Amino acid sequence: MSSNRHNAYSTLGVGVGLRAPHVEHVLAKAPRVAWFEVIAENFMVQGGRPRQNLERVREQYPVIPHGVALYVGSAGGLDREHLRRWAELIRRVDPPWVSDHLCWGSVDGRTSHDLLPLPYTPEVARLCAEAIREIQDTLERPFAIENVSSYAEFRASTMTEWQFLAEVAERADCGILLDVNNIYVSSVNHGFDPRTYLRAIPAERVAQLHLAGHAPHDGFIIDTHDRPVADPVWDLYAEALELLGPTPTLLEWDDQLPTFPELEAEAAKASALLAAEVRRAG
Amino acid sequence: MRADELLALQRALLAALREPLTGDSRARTPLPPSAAAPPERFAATARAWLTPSASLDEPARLELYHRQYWFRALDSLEEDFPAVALLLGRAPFWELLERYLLAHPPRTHSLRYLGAGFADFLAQRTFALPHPVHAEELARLEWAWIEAFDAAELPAAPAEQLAEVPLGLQPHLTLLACRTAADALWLRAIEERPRGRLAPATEPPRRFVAVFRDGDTRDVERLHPAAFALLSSLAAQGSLAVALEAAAPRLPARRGAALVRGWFATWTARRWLVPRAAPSSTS
Repeated sequence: MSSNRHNAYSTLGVGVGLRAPHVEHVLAKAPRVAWFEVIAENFMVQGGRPRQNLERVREQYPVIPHGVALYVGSAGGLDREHLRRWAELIRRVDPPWVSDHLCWGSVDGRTSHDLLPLPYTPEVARLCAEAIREIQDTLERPFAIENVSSYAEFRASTMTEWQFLAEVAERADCGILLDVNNIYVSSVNHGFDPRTYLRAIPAERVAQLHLAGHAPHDGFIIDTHDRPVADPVWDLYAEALELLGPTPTLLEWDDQLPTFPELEAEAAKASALLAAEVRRAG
Repeated sequence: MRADELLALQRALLAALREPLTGDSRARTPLPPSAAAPPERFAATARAWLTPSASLDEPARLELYHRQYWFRALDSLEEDFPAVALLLGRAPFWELLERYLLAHPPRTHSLRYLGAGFADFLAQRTFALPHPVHAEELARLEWAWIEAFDAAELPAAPAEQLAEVPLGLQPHLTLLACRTAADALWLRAIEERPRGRLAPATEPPRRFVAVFRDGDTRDVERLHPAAFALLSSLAAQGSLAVALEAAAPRLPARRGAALVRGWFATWTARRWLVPRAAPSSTS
């Protein structure tokens, strides 16, 4: 069972990413969703409807903030002003754990607004781990680091991505948010076996899983989050559950949003796989 | 890889991402076509740092991130300034966004703030633009509309204390002195009605507008010139007595006092007036 100190021993089931067009439906219909993940930066505002909606959803559901801009791998170090915004958000939401990505995105105060991949070396792993330790010390909350999908690899890399992810998590003593879709996307883009990746992950550190849809192209895949989860990703998810045990899972859908009932139907597929794993493990 | 090498890698890659789009990547956007080839430094950066894959060479791999950088920023700005886009036409508007992003690369943690400098950028008039004053004022109004969505709502000043404490305005309230009918143009744009003939810009401004949030909803409202002067003065210095003095020349000789009483009743109901924050002390 991937209920561990990195997810506050959570037994949450399958949640979905909360997106603005769905909020009204969620508040009016109170759908049967185990939990919601919110993009942390969207709620780092001083007032207005985003804050009100967050508070109202939080009254009814567990809410986990997921960041996109901590950039633990940026060579210039963490943006401490951004970390202060995070701390303020945590005071308001009081989540059991939080997460962000193993990537870089800004340099010299300029930002890409993207989750850019890193060269996989022990030195870069140390830099990321130091940043994550500072995040955990500041936020005083379990923190899970997510593997990103990528379209490029670096000449400087001396480790595989899975070795790098495990090294960072061990050095930082943090959790892992394992994005199964991202593993699959990167496996096609870089030509590795996604099962090798999955088997190399320290199971006791996995706090949460992510699922999403992607767009296949001629010889590569773009991680679009704009469609249902692809069949090979469902297969990989089932294998991940077998390896890790039942693990809180989140379905991401960010573009070409379906109706909320359609989103629920997609999440129900994950719930069925998760329930089967609970029965198998139990 | 040493820290200085990682820094060099990240500087080189971000500089490459900030290069203007060319070729097929550009053709996938509403940007005006360009015959410019990708700069050699883009390919050189890709080859210096990246490896090829079975299906993509190094520049092609970097181009996927290059597209994402531009598509994400351009789409975000287009969403923030729909009325400016309608005024200028889509291709000229996107060309303008490209100029803006080249001059003002993203620096904030969220795309929400990407357009913060757009109106000031238009005000610099460093390039030819049809209807420059209209475009600038629409941009200011559309940015105020975004601010009204999620800016703070501070505790209002109690009505009985208005004359006793230094006052300020709610952070979600923006006051605009306009040389054009920006509010009417904006309304027609968001209601998808024809904009009609553009009246020339006046000098000085003759139209005064408040953009604000009231409860859950946002609004744009015309202000009497004296109301604008009064609120602007309060925002600048906080003293009600000084603000009333600033507004007096613009008040009609008759009914002036009644007008002011009515405005304060409305502003109090809307919680626009807040106790002014004391300046932080320094030691």
